[in-house]
Amino acid sequence: MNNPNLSVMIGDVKLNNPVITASGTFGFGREYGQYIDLNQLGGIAVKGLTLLPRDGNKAPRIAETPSGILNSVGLENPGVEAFIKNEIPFLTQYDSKIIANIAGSTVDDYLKMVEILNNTEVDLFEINLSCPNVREGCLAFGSSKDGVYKVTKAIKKIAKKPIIIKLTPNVNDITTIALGAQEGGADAISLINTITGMKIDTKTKRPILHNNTGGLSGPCIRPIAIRMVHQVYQSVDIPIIGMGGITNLEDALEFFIAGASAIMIGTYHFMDPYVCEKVIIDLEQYLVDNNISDIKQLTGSIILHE
Amino acid sequence: MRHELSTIVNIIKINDFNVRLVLQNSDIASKATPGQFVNVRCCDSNELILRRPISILKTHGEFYDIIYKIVGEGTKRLSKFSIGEKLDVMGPLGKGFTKESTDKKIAFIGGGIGLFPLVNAVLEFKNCESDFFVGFKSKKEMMLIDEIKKTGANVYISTDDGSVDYHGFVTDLFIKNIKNYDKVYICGPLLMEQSCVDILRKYNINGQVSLEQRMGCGIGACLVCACETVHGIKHVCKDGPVFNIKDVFLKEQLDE
Ligand SMILES: Cc1cc2nc3c(=O)[nH]c(=O)nc-3n(C[C@H](O)[C@H](O)[C@H](O)COP(=O)(O)OP(=O)(O)OC[C@H]3O[C@@H](n4cnc5c(N)ncnc54)[C@H](O)[C@@H]3O)c2cc1C
Ligand SMILES: Cc1cc2nc3c(=O)[nH]c(=O)nc-3n(C[C@H](O)[C@H](O)[C@H](O)COP(=O)(O)O)c2cc1C
Ligand code: FES
Repeated sequence: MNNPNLSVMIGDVKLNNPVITASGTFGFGREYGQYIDLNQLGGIAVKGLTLLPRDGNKAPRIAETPSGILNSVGLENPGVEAFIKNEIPFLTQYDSKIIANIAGSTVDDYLKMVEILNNTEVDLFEINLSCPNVREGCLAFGSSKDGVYKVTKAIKKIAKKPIIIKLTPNVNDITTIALGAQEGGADAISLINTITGMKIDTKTKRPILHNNTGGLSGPCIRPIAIRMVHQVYQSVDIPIIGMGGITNLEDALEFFIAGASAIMIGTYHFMDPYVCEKVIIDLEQYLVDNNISDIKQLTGSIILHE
Repeated sequence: MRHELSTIVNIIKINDFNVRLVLQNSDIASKATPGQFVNVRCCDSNELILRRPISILKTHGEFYDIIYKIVGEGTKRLSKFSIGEKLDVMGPLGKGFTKESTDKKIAFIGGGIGLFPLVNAVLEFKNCESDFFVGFKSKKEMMLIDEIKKTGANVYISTDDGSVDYHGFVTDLFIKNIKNYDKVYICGPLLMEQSCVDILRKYNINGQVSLEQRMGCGIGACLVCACETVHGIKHVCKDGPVFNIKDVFLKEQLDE
């Protein structure tokens, strides 16, 4: 059999394979670039960007929980201009697609950032409508169908690159919200962002995180993510990028079968810097072993009980 | 480039809580500088999703030593490994202690397990006069004294309960014996570090301090280990753990 096709399309952008690093866990690629060859990745979703630089929240910003972590980084980032000047030249050296993850407090913030980034070598926009660690904006848009629809539509009007709308799981009905993104003209949907949580030090009675609450990620959220990808796949036609607790091939397969066209891997990098590299190699081998010629055949191949 | 696993060649139980591992990994041993740390995977299961940062105590040939205190689930699981087994250790990480060739008279102030990263510094920083101040809770927790004395350093010990030498805080012991040091290296609990920094500032002495912060990636990619400095937000795992005392605001980190 010929090599199976691992490439996927998001809008008119072709990713060499469906494995992408999740925003906020992989910086701008430099650090993990010392451990893996960044050319192998389907894409790199960079740390969430804001119009102006942000310091983020006070530390501690991380707490370990059973099979997961809580984080409250609070979107620390150098701002979109510094990203263009200092990080894009580094990232363009590699084959993997550059995904600019952007977050704003107003619709205007998003539009300004998209305008600035339109004329750069960024390949895709990932619109973060779901950051739980900043007080203003962002999450508020992501919590209603109308909010998601409006922001998506406004961005789509001016964006020169395909847009991925990143959804929060901290909502009652993920399917209607996903529809808001589709109706607004999104090229793809990515989910899930972190789930709001808390951990308390019983000796001091204080939360471990200085922000008190944070976003839960890692293997403990995977069942929720799988359920949401499955639900969203049934209600929208645009590609879904699934994430939440992926650690290996088996986990990745679950997402594809549930309905994902591509996946992102975040938290597990902290334990295994090579996790993306391994999943890509194992995925290709899996397709060969199972006589699957194209990764697309796996997407949504779930067989539900009657 | 893939990192090689580290082989456990010896396990030494120092006391009820502290375990010393002698590990074999020529890459880590040859690259490590004083004050750097490693990030250790403590178990195979994904129940614990984070590695644990541990200081490099010393290096010798293709070997390096670490001492970990058993405090929680991760270090408890680490204690289940036996000699001959391999550990998944990333390192050496971070920026450690530095010494200028003009630094001739130096001091170290360590509190409790904060002693560990200072050991590699006193071993490596040769050709100078070194005073080593170290505070323990009590005699039972005292360790590494002979190893430090072998370097020729003058060792000053304090204990909280007076069971050995000076009865009281290591910072008070330091003030009693303070000299015109070219540089002082500090590592210990945050409160102790803060008092040391205050003393050094008062006497106008240069210093470096090693900070502790909860970590995720350990290499500068996730931004969770933030600390405030005069140069803006920095990250303990990559820009530290060792900082110039002029640059950091320790008071801001003490919980209000
Ligand atoms: C740069 C650096 C060097 C260190 N060097 C040493 C050393 O040489 N020897 C030693 O015994 N300890 C050292 N520590 C502290 C050590 O990392 C913690 O004691 C250890 O992570 C506790 O893990 P646990 O699972 O047993 O405890 P738990 O409390 O169950 O851990 C829960 C989570 O909190 C984190 N955590 C808990 N305490 C600390 C702490 N004090 N600092 C940072 N993270 C913490 C853990 O890593 C884990 O993610 C160092 C810490 C840092 C940041
Ligand atoms: C430390 C940390 C920082 C994150 N920062 C961002 C961010 O800036 N923007 C964003 O859209 N998602 C951010 N996320 C969420 C991840 O991209 C991802 O959606 C989530 O962690 C679930 O995937 P995982 O379980 O594989 O980590 C962050 C996650 C972590 C752990
Ligand atoms: S632990 Fe990830 S940046 Fe320091």
